[in-house]
Amino acid sequence: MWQKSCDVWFVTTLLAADNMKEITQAIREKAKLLLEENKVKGVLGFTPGTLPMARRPILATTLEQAERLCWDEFCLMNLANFIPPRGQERIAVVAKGCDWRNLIVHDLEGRIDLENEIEVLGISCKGMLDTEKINQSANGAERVVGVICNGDEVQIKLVDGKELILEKDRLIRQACRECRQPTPDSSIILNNSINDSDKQKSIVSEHAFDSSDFLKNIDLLQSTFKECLMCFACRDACPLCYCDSCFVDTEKSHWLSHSSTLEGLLDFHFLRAHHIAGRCTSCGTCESACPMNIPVRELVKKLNHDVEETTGYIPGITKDMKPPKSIFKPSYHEHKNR
Amino acid sequence: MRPYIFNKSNLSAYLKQLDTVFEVWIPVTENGITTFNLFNKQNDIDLGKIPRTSVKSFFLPQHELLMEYSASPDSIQLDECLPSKKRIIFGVKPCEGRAVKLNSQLLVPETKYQKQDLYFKANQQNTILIAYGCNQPGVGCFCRSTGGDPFGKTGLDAIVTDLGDRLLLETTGTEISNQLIPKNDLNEEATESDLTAAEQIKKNACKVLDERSEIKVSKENIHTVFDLEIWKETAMRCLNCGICTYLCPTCSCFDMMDYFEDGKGSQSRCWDSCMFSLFTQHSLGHNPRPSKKERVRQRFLHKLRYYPEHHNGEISCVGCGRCVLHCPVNIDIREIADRLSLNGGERG
Amino acid sequence: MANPYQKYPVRINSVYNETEDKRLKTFGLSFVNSEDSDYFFSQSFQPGQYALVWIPGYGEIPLGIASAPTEHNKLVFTVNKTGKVTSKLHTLTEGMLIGLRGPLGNGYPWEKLKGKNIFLIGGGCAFSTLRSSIKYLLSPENRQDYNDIWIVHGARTPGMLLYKDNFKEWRKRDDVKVHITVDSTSLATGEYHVGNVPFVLKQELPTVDENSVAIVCGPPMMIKYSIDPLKEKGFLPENVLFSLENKMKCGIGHCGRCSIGKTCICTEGPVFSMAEVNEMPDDY
Repeated sequence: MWQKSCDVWFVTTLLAADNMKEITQAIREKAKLLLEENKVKGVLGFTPGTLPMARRPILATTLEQAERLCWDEFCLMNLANFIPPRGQERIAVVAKGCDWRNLIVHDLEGRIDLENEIEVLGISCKGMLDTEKINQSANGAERVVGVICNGDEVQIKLVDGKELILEKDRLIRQACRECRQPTPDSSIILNNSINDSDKQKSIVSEHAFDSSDFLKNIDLLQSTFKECLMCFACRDACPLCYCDSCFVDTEKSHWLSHSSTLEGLLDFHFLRAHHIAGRCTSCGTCESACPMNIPVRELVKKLNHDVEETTGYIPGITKDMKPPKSIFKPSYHEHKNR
Repeated sequence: MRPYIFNKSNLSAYLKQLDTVFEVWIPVTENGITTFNLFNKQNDIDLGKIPRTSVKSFFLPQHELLMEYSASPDSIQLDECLPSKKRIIFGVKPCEGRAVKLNSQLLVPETKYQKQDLYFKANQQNTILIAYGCNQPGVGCFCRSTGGDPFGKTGLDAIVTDLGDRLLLETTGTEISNQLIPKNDLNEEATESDLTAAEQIKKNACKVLDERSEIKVSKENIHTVFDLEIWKETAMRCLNCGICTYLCPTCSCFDMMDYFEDGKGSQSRCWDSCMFSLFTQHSLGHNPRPSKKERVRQRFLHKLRYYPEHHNGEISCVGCGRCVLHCPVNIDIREIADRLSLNGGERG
Repeated sequence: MANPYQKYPVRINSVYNETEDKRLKTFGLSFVNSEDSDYFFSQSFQPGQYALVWIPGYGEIPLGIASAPTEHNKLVFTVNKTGKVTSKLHTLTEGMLIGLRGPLGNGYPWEKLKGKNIFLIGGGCAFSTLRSSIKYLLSPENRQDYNDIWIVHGARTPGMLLYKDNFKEWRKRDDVKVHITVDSTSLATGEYHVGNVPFVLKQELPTVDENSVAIVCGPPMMIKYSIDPLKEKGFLPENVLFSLENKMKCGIGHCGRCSIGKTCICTEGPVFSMAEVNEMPDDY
């Protein structure tokens, strides 16, 4: 029976999740408490999936489901993406730094009511792992049977019975390396906060897109985006791409054809980048979701950097200011010169 | 006819032989992603991995020209752009050959009353598939559960079995497969012991896969299946992106569009996905599948219920595992198929 | 085998504004090549079928054929301005060339309907295939094959009624009963009822037996509220026929978007009986 074999995978993945037992336990206990006391309708968190590194977002509404919540280095999706818009029953959400930053942007933009409708169970995050890197070391995603994180090492079990030991630090997602706030400012933090006082400054790794005339570099654009399938996973995984009617999905004013010519691909990526410039929290979910390993975030990073320089606004971290794009005035460009 | 055998180190010599007659495509890994590239001296063949995108791109390209035309107030001249390039794709997975067959049943039906897609048909006639058998099925693989085989020959022109240091090449008897026979000093027939070794490899691979159960087509009333709780659960986390449909070797839905400039134009088609809201959106605003729940349900029921009802119970999934491996939120078709074939075991 | 994506060139002969809101136009078309015309009509074209009308550079749309096979070599379509292609089509004038593929899908089951009473009920642009059906039924070679014929046509206002000239003709005949209704009007002339289609069905239709068939075409709301009155009058589920609409692209059952459950609307439909629709899962 599949159920049986699926359960086998579930068990393996639960074992893999074991190394962060304490956080997992804290989430489960808090979730059960909140549900028992009827303080929330559900708890949005992660649960193990059918593959060693797969963690599924789940809205746990029963104690049984709460018992299956977990936490480890593979909780890659951004849970802010799964929160229904305001006006719903109160829910709790397990949030690492980047989930929190997106909640802040959602709240500033009026999509959610963070204070009254959402209970944040904060987690101070040391960074998630890049599963694509692990897959490449294993010579294919299909060859990874099990992954166990032991301290600074990641032990990977392969389908042929062999084992790989990799250095954990090298497997951390690029977005997590550049994270500017790994710990939420929420009143509840479920683990020991890591020290991130020195994270506040902008750490932007170098990328070819940093050069100001990268747009003229057709070869660069071609090689970066040529494998894009136009599956829109980057958009769909992005918590900030929440428009009811996305420019991709309007047929009458055909902004975009779904054909995958280079022009079509660039149209999509540039339009999207501009829609989330000055809003993107650089959480990296787009890159984790991308099936073709395209550095989607890099394009936005450059635009974000410009917005920060001009207005001083850091998405998800600045709270006392409306997002610049929603109150844009031509006089903004003077800010920089002041 | 006995299979042929040659040393692994002679593989590129064999590919060169093929290259003199056909265009040869091989799996190549670039930036960590394996896709099919044109064979040349620079790129290294990367056998054994499941290529990220399937061989579907050669039969139903993501973007395909259907018609070119010139149009003016006085005349419309249409030219059909049927593909004609002969090519070999070397190193596909055996399951992908089955996927071509499944798509062909839909797009090139044999019955008199259904229309045939001449573009797919031409691609099928022009594309030669040489598979590389799966000695070691991956964690997402379940071809045996869908009626396939890690060394199955359906839809293929030849299949290679990896004996460690040597490769065993078996043609499948299709019309063109004679032209795939190794020439000159590579032309060596396999011995009885080679065949025994190959048999053992096949047996081992099947043993792993047979632990994963068969997918049964649910006979439950469709109205009941529609109301299963599983659709709501799955839709909760589904992103409604196109990864599963675009990586899938059997998903074949497409969109059609026109392009026109200065009196000349073209009609083409490109992949579309039942995951997208625009797929079914009427121009007056009504959408038969308005939310993620209906769209997720459509994808799985199409593969596991509707397609089999039209095609003698064969499901439209070959168990390659791409959607399982690459879904960002771990929606697993094996789990859904299981809950569906539990025949009423799960109700909303 | 012929390429199913090949199109015939057709010329626009006439453009007529059907309604006061100018959103419905009727186009008369003729084939440029006589062999295309012969082929089209030799495909046993039946009222109820549709064709894909193509505008170079804009794309194709499925449209119910409003003309009957008995009006030889003439094609009529009534087009509602809704999307990209139909908006463009509305700007085209007489003499222009466009393309066409068809006839596609299945028409109403005319062979099976022989000897029956036929009730044609419709409103809006969807009335087009009923125009085709009426023309077909009332033609001298077919009229004797069918029993009583009733027509119910509804619109929001008198200015929104379709095919006014045709209706004038049909009303003169004594072998067909015509009921026209408008939702509201400022001047009631007695020429038509005031009230919606379901209301007229309740009031005017006789009680029927299994020998009566209703063909219902119109906006979803009209169809939805017509079902109960029809049942009350005694129509069996298999004797109520609908023409379903869904987004279509290829028209040959390949592109995957028009299906409802396992049923492909573009090839197995668009005509389905209420009994068949009840069997379909709720995906429309």
